[in-house]
Amino acid sequence: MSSAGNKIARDGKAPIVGGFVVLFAFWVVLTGSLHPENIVGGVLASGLVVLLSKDLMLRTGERPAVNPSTLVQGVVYAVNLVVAIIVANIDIAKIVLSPSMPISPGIVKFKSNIKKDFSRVLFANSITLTPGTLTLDVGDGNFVVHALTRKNADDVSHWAMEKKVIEIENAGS
Amino acid sequence: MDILIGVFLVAGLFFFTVGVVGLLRLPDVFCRLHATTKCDTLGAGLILFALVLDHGFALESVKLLLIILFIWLANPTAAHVIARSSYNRKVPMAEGSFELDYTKEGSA
Repeated sequence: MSSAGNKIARDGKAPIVGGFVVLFAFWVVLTGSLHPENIVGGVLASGLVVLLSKDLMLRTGERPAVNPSTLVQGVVYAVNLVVAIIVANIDIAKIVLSPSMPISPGIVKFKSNIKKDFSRVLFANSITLTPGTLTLDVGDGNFVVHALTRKNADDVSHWAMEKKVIEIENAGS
Repeated sequence: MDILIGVFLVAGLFFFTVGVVGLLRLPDVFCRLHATTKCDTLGAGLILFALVLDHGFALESVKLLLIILFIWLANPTAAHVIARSSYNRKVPMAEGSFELDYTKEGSA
């Protein structure tokens, strides 16, 4: 949190209206009623939260634009990721349950062409979510990943998901 | 439908079991993180999804799906924090761990 006189340059505007709409929709889902009391409470709570946390939210210039094509890409990405997670999870289960436990753990460092922080976070979290690989550090486009087997390490350094992240990144700008 | 729900529940329990077995068997902190966090992802995901199927199209299902979403956001973040601090403090790795560096070879 930036104190006065120590502002970091930010790109774009804070999404106050969008943030409010999302929070209020979340409130309605959680309360599950449209009773006036709940609506007034929701408007007050969502408004307060948005105003207090506006410095923490992603600015328009820091995330992909929300439009039909990026939404479709996002859904395709999520489906691909879930499939990758399930496949890899079964692999890990086999390794853990086999009596000899054939692991060969280690660290792999590789460079990525992903430019924006948002996409890097997305990619790093995808790596961590996918079993067998764990992001240790990200800096300047270099990813440091811990892999459970040598094969995981080779796979992750040339992972197809990276291209999809770059596609979303380019579509969003 | 009940059979399907049962299958998801049992599969979820299976992955949790694998997570615990992995936590006990694997050699170092990083490997153990692999086992626990990943099996949480799918284990909790499958069990909650079974509950979603059980509730059908209802508000509870939306809430359960939101819980899955937040677990899938929080899980890798927490794993990354543990892994990164262990890495930076040079917590020893299992013997024979390899170290590959592809950063020199240019873009992947």
